[in-house]
Amino acid sequence: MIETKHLTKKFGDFVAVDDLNLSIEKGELFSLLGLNGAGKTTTIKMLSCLILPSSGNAIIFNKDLIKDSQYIKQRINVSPQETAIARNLNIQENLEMIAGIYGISKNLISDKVEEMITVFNLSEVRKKKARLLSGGMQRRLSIAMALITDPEILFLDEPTLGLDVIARRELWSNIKKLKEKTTIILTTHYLEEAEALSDRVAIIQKGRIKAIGTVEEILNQTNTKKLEDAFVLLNEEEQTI
Amino acid sequence: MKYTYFAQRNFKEILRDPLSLILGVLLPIFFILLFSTISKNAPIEVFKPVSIVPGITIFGFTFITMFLGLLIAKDKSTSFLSRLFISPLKPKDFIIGYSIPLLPFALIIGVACLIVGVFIGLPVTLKIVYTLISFIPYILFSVFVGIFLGVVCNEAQIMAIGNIYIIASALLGGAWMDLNILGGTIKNITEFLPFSHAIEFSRIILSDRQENIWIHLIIVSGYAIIFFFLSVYFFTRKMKSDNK
Repeated sequence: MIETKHLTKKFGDFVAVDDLNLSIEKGELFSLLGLNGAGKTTTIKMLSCLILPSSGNAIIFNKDLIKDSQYIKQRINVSPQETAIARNLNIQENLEMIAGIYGISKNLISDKVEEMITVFNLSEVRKKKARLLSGGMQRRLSIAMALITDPEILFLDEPTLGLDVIARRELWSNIKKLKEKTTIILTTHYLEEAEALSDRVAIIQKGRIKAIGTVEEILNQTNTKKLEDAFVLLNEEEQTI
Repeated sequence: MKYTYFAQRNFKEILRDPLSLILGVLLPIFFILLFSTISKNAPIEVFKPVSIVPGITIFGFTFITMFLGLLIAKDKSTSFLSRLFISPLKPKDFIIGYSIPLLPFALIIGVACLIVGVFIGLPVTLKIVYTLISFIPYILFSVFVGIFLGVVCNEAQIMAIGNIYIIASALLGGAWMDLNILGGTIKNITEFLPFSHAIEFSRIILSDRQENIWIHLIIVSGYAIIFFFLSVYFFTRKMKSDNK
């Protein structure tokens, strides 16, 4: 479903993503892990057509990322790191707006809005302006806005950042349900999150993949018992070098 | 059409900001009533309804630029615009989506000021309708300047530039003073700016003055066209610059 070919992004002299080659299968939940500045968000921005690669390319839905961005944009969606919501619109209006922008027909929009409000348990606050919602609610709304368009690929950039334990667990449960029908690319700093949710993970460091595979495979490769230990070990190795 | 949903959102965002209504509608009305009251004690030509109403209305449209500029700048800073850049919306959808909601808002300002004008002595004739139509070029100019500023500047910069812009439009437009008293260089500068031409254009249409309106219309429309292309250029560049 996604195949990157020597995908590289430079900002001046700084190489944010360096010769990234990976492939992600349909229906997979794939996590990108790394320290701050490792290149996770830049990778997502490239794959979601927000920024162009400096070199290399990616094939998504058998289409060229650069040439066929309009085709790809219609079939993907993103929940960005920041809760990018219309702050003076209520939950229902935010959802209706995104559904309309993605071209969902008028008579389907209300059904889709109801579905998202139910799935994300937002019915009690549906008429509340987004700016008045708690951080957890805003995050759920942001993800619902990404999902209402029925994306074939969903990019979740640090979806549980700033959430309390309960809200995080609720969101995990939502994400697990999504796995059945959507390909998900997730970035997170919470390794237990990646461990609980992912089919495969890639550990990125300075824009390059240090390890890739299922959690079990990475534990075997690094001879560790926990993903956190493997992650620390891989990052320490690089710093020692 | 996809942009209609985006335009609806922008309309609601502006309407739900009470400052927009206060500044956009109530402030011009307050100024019209204020100068009208002053004119009773000091019969100055520029304070007469036929002069002060178009002058203050044009000044009121200046706030449209501020609302729109700040809305776009906020959308940039909250990453909301980035989210929409990932959507299938195209540059033209953004320009239309940001522009259209301001037009009814501008209409409300124009109609409200003219209704107040009738109460302070404007005769009810067809000229009032023509005057309302005469506001269109300056409204478009205000919208495109707003898009341009919103794309190019951040919120803090817009607040600073916006204040200068509002003061410049007030002082150099001649909404409530005779520009001849500025004299010399400053008076000449006003000739090259759209503010005084927009006011004169509407004043001539509202009054019985038999003067050439075309030079005023051409200058204001010219500025509107220039800022339309600038806003399209910089918006498209913004989408592409995020692509670098």
